[in-house]
Amino acid sequence: MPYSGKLRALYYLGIHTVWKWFHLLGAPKSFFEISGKLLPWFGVAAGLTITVGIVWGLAFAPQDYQQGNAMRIMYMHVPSSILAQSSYMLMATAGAVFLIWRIKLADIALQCAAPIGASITVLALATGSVWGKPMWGTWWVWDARLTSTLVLLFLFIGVMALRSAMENREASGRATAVLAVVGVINLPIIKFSVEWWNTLHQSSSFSLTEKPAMPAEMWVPLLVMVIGFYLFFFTVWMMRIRIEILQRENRTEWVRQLVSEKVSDAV
Amino acid sequence: MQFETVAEFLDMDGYGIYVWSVYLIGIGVLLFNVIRPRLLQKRFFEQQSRALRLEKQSADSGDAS
Repeated sequence: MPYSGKLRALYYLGIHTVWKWFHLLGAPKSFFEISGKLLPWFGVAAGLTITVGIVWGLAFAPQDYQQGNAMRIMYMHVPSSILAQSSYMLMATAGAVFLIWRIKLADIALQCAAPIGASITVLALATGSVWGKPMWGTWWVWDARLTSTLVLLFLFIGVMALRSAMENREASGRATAVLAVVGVINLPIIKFSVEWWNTLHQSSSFSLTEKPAMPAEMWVPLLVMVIGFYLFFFTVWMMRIRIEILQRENRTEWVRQLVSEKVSDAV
Repeated sequence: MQFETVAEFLDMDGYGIYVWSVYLIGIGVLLFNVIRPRLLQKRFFEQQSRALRLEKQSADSGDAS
C-alpha cells in the first residue's frame, strides 16, 4: 500500500498530539492557567442560560393538561436529576483515570466533584419530594427510583467522608477512586428503576435518543435548563479544582508568586 | 406569558407554594455552590499571604542578627 507509511506517520502524530494535550491538561499548573481563561466564559454562559430557562419555565411554558402549573417544578427537578447522575459519572471517570494513569489532577477532580454532586442530588430529591406532595399526596415513598437516588446521595457523601477520614493522600485518593468506580453500578439501577419495577415515579419524559412526548413549547425550555445546569456544573467544578490545585501546590514557586502578586495588589 | 395578573402568577392555580419553594431551594443550592468555593479561595489567599509575611519577617530578623 503506497499510503501506509504516510498514514502511519499521521497516526503517530495524532496519538502524539492527543497524548501531549492529555499531559498538558493533566499538569496542575497548566490546568490552572487554561481554566482561568475559560472560567469567566463558562460562568456567564451558565448564568444566562439558567436565567432564561427559569423565566421561560415559570412564566412562558404552557401548563400540563393533567398536572397544571405544578408541572413547572419539572424545570428544576429534571435538570438536577440528570446532572446528579452525570456528575457521578464524571466523578467515577476521574477515579478510573486516577487508578489507571495516576494523574494527580484526576484525583483533584474526583474530590472536587463530590460536594457539588451531593448538593445537586439533594436538590433533585427535594424538588421531587415537593412535586410528590401535590401529585402523589406524599413527600416520600420507598419507591425504586427515589431509593436509588438516595443511594446516589450516600455515595457522594461516602466519597467525601472517606476523603476526610484518611490522612494519607495517596491512600485516600486510591480508596475514594475505587468507591466512586464501584458505585457506578447504581446509575443503571436509577435509570431503569422506572421500567424494572412498578414505581410511583413516572417514566422518563426526556431521553437522548427519542423525540420527547411533550410539545416543543415544553421541552425547549427544559433543554435550556439542562444545558444551563451542565454549564453551571463545569463552572463551579473548575472553581473548586483551581483552589485545590493552589492548596496542594502551595509550596511551589508559581503559587508563591501568585500569592505575593495578590498581596501587592491588595496593598 | 401564561398568566394574566401577578396574583395569578404567584398562585399558580393553588400550586404556588410548591412551585415557588422548589425554585427558591434550587436557586439556594446553586448560590451555595458559587459562594462556597469563593470563600475557600479567599481563605487560602489570606492564609498564604500571612505565611509569606511571617517568612519574610523571620528572614529579615535573621539578617539583622
